[in-house]
Amino acid sequence: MQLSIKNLSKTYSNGVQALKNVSLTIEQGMFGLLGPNGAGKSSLMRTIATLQNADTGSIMLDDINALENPQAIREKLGYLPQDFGLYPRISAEVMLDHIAQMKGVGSRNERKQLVANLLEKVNLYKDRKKALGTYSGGMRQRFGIAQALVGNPSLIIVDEPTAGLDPTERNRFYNLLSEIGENTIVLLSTHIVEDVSTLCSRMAIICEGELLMEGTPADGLAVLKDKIYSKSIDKQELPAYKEKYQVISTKLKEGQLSLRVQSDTNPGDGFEPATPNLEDVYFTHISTKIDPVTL
Amino acid sequence: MLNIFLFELKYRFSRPATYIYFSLLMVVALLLIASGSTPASEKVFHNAPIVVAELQLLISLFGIMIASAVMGVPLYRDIEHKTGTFLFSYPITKNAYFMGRFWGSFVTLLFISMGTIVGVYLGTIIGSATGWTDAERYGANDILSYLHPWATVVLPNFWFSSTLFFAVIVFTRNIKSIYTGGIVFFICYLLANFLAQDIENRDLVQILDPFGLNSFSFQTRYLTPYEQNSFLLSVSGNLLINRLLWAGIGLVFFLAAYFRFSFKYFFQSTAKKSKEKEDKAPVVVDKGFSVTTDFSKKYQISSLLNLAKIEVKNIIKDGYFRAIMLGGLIFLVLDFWIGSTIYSVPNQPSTSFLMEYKGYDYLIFVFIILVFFTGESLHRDKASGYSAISDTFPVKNGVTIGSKFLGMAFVCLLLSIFPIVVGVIVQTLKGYFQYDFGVYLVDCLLISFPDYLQMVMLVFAIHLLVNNKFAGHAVSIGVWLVMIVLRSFADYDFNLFFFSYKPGYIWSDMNGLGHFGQPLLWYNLYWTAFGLFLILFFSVFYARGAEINLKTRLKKSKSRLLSASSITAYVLLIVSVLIGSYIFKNVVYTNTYLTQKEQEKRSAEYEKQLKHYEFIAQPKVTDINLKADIFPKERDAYFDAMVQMVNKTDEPIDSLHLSGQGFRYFHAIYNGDTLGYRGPLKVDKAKFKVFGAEDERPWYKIYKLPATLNPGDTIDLQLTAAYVNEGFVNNGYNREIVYNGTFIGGGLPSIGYSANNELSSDETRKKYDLPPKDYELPPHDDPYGRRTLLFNDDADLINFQATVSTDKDQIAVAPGYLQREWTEGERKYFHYVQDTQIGLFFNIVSADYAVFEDKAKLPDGSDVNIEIFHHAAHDANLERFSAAFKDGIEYFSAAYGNYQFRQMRLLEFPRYASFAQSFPNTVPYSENFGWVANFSDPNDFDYGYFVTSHELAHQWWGHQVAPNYTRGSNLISEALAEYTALVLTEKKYGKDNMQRFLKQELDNYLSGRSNENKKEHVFINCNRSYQWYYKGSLILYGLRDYVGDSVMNTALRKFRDKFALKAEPPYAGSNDLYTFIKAEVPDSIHYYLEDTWLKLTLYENKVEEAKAKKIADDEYEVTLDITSQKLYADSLGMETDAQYAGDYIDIGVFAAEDTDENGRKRTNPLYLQKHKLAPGEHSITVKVKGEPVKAGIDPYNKLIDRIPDNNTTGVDIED
Repeated sequence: MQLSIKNLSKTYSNGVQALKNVSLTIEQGMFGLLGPNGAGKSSLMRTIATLQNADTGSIMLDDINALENPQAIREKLGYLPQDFGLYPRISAEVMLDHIAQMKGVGSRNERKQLVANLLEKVNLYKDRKKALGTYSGGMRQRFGIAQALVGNPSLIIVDEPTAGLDPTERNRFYNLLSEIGENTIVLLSTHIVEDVSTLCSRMAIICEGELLMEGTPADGLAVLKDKIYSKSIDKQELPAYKEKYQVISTKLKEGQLSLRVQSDTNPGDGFEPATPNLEDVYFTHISTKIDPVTL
Repeated sequence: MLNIFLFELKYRFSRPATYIYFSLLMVVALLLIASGSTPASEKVFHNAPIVVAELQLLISLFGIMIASAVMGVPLYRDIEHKTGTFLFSYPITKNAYFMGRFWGSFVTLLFISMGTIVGVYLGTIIGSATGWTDAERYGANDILSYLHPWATVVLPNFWFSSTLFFAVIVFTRNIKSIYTGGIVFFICYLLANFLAQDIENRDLVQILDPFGLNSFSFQTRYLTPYEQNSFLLSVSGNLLINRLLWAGIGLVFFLAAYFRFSFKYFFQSTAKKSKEKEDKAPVVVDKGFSVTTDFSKKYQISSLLNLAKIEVKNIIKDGYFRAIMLGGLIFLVLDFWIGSTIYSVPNQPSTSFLMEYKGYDYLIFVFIILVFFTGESLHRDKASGYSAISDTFPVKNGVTIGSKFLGMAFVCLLLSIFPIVVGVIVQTLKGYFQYDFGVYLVDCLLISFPDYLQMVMLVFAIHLLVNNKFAGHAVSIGVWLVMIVLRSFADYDFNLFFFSYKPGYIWSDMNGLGHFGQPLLWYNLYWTAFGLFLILFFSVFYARGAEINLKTRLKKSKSRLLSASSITAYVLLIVSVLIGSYIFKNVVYTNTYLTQKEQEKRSAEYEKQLKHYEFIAQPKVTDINLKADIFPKERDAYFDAMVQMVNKTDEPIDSLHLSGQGFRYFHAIYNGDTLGYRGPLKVDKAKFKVFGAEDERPWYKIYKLPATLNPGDTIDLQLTAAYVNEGFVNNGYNREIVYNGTFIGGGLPSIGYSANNELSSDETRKKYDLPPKDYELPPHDDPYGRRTLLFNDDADLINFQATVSTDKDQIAVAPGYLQREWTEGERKYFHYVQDTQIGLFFNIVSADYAVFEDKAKLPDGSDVNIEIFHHAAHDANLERFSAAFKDGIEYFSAAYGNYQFRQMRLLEFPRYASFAQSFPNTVPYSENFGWVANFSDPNDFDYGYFVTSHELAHQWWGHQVAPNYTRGSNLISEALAEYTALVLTEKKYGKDNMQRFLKQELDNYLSGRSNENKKEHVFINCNRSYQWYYKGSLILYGLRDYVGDSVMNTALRKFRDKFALKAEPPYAGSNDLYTFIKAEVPDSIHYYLEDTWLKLTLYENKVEEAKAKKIADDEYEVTLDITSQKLYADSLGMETDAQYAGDYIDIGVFAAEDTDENGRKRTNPLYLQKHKLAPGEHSITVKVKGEPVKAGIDPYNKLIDRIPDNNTTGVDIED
């Protein structure tokens, strides 16, 4: 099974170009989509999830054309949007059962088991009788995750799934996702690099609607091998350093600014060679589009 | 604070909403005033102070919606935009913030309220300048008449609603709660109105009505046209209490909100902390997510049901739904429990009555629920954000839309079934067990249910098209507003063009749904097909997915125009057009639909073209032998009469004028030859016959007589005529011939021109260049008037017999004594002969009757047969009707002269009309006028007895003494019948029991003159029902109080003896009666006679204070401070103080009321004497035995008093 996106472009009626000629091929397994806020991740996901049309390009799930035959995609889809709501006066159990039916689970018994199982998995079982309107943000997000997994979807799209989850719940979520069979395509968008490094076998970086990088995390790291150097400086010195070096990220550490630069050779000047991590991969790519280094 | 206040103002005045609201009020007021669509009667200016005040009051009522929008948002804005949290950090105090926001919004609201004032002002200018309305209908614009009601009514109303909405927001921090506030408000208002229906509760109602509308109408209820033009609302009494009370409650809301409000409380994050505990156990790996999925056809169907189910859950779990539903149920219970009362007497809760009551208040709640929740339902997924998930489900658009509709349909079903449940419970609790489930099911499920569904369909389609919740609500309500305005103000009533409108109908126990079933069925099919078309067609605009702007929706909709659902839509459209054409054919072609304007124009043309025939010489009928064949199932009737006519004039007559509007056909036949005629009346073709129209059959025909009829000559003619009901009509009951309960007055064409068909309103007459019509009838001494009878100018006295046939299972009745009845095939025949002469005034009745028989005895010992023909189940009050006949025949014969027939009959007819009518020895009497009344309370006024007595009295007043055709003569018939019936009822039930009735009569008279469109004539020239019924009974009853029974009876007896059963003119006029009464009344009371008959006289009697001192054991000295003043009014109601030495007026002191042996309330006068009172203040001291409780002047309201409520007061007993 394969999701292939070709030359996808989208401009909104307010003139914002959300997607610029994006092409991606996504195989079974976990695929991470990294990018800053407003990069076009959600636009891409909504388009795949048949919620909006593209201006040009195509999306194929094997031989199903998502833009021409949205109904067929919907039958295989599990989708967790970034922003969503639920019926406030309905209980989680009834709602999830209803959604299961919407996703084609016709047998009442099967639905009942599935609902209990899923609610247990997202740790909502004991709150299953409560009306959804009384749920906190984190609980609602977990319910959202549960509903995305209902009904054997072969394409799961989760948009910022870990937003609003505390560390324990995030771990639980990682475990849950990793349980999903290898026969499923999982497309996960996030701006948290750790999500990708924990879960994803393949990834892409997207910024201002453009695809900047696609591959395995290891591919990304390999490119940066021996090219990352770090140094602690005073805050005031930053502008001077930015003039001189290709600064990709800064981090405040005990009042000092820890600086990371990308360079083919050792720049000296007190810089130490550093082991590249996935964050460096992310910053090097988006720094070609926007300046990620601000104070 | 000033800063925030100014900021708020600046913000508001930069928002278009402010100006939209302002213009909305302005435009509504402007249109109403400029088009002359105000409640002003014809002698009241459209911009009269009372109209300006009432309009401002009414608009302030609808302005509550605006108040909720304006006052609800200012604080909520900060929550919604999350700016509230910033406010913590700004150096502003709570005081400044709260006050600034409140007063800024309130001032804005006051500005908006000025829109009405500007609109009214511009309306008067535009209305008269453009000639839209006659410039004469506008008076001078006085600034005070604009600002005074604004300050006393609008300002307090807005203050109250503003503080309410503001407080609701502060306390709940939820914009939706504004709705609840609005609903509570609305329920209060309906409750106040509900209680106001019964005049007994007026004080309470006036104080409880938060808008003051009831206090306002109470204060203005009796104002005459003159006073309405010079009105200034007086803020005193109940209105003052009302204003203070509600402004005070407003202040409480304001203060409560102020003290409750704090930044911290108000803007705290609404998210609740998650309370769950950490689950330490590791997640068990479990491959349990694998399930079988199926997306075949079955999936779409089960999804449809499932979605509908969750939609219903969403709605019925909604607090607002429950609140509105509860309100609706409360009113349903109240309406069912009380129903409609006559003289405060309720009816039995018969199912067919209950079905009518559910249209009173419950329907308003149904409308609100359906309009509101259809919108909520359609926008639920978008508004809640759930659509981001649900739009990716593999359900088809049609399934989603269908499920929403199905959900609402289920709600409609619930709403249709509630009245059945509530109805059965109410009937059971009231001990009424004749549940008529057929009526319940047909009315609730086959009539109301489709009606509710159609409402949903239109709202649904609007929301699909508009795709914005609030705009959708606004457009939906707007559509209904436009329909209501067009129907009630612009006189449009063609149901086919008004969505979901159907011909009005009424259930009858006698006739069931009757002939209304057919049009209801067709109209329901028509609107349902059209409604489904709307939904299916507009479903192409359904917006799915994240991107919903007009462009993408239009693009998508274009591609769907040929989809299966669209094609179904077109088919439904064709179906509705076909059904519509069928309805159109029935209404417009078969039954010639005319607009209100066309009917007016035709009346004008009648007068213009035919008025010159009014007094031409015509023969008079002397003998009728009628054959009438009634076909109840076909709703047809055929008449064939041998009629003898005589030329009683002194000129030769060569042509006969016959007029028969409403007949399918009529002919005059002489010796077997149908006479030729011409139809002089030319009318325009009916406008709605757009597909061509034939000339209409003439209904005013001039026949050339076979030979000139010289004075004294006689001619025998055969007249044939037919009533045919074919198809159905746009509106109106067409009640004459029905399946069970036919009642036809007459049945033959009448002779010549009738002034009754002329337009009456002077304003309308002016539009058609007709002169004003001050009097309907000629003066008292007019020779034509004196020799002509009021009820029928076609004859003096006639000989009458009739052979009536009807279906086998019915009884047919006409005046006269039954000679023979026989059956021929499926038809039953009845032959009636009236063996003494009667006026030309007969009727035909036919129904499936049970007959109750009794006998009355005349003073000479002979028997009178009493027969009551009634619907078998309506036997509860037969004794009351029959007692009235017996008592009346006995008493009236003794007092006024013998009853002239050997039988008296009462016949029930279906309640499509609410009256009783007295034909010779035969009285048809409406089903809802006492047959099912519940007189269980001994204090009830037995109106069944009274009305029957009234109709019986007409056998003397009307039939024995027939009034002539001059001014005021109808009082001989109606005022005397009302008075003599009152005397009879008083004999049976006592004076105290008459109080409730007299109160109503006075109320009816005072309200009647206040709504007078022309001039109020003095009693002797009376021309309105409020004069001859209500004033008539009051002043004659008052006169009897002065002169006693015997004087009254002597006068009436002599009058009756002079005119009874006269075969030759001159006939009696009101002046004759006056002369006879005056001859018997002592001189000292002549002033009263003149005041009541020849002048318009009112009193302002009032007790200021009543004190008592105990002077001995059980003996008290009571001192009353009273004022008394007599007023004379002119014909427009301008009243001036009368100059007089003194009038005789009752002074009364009463002990506590108790109950008599019949369980009736009894007043116990300790003192009741007439005092001669000069105008002005008096202090009167009287000694009484027994403890005084109540005292006053004219305590029984025998005089016509402007303010009848202040005549008595409680007595303060000093130690």
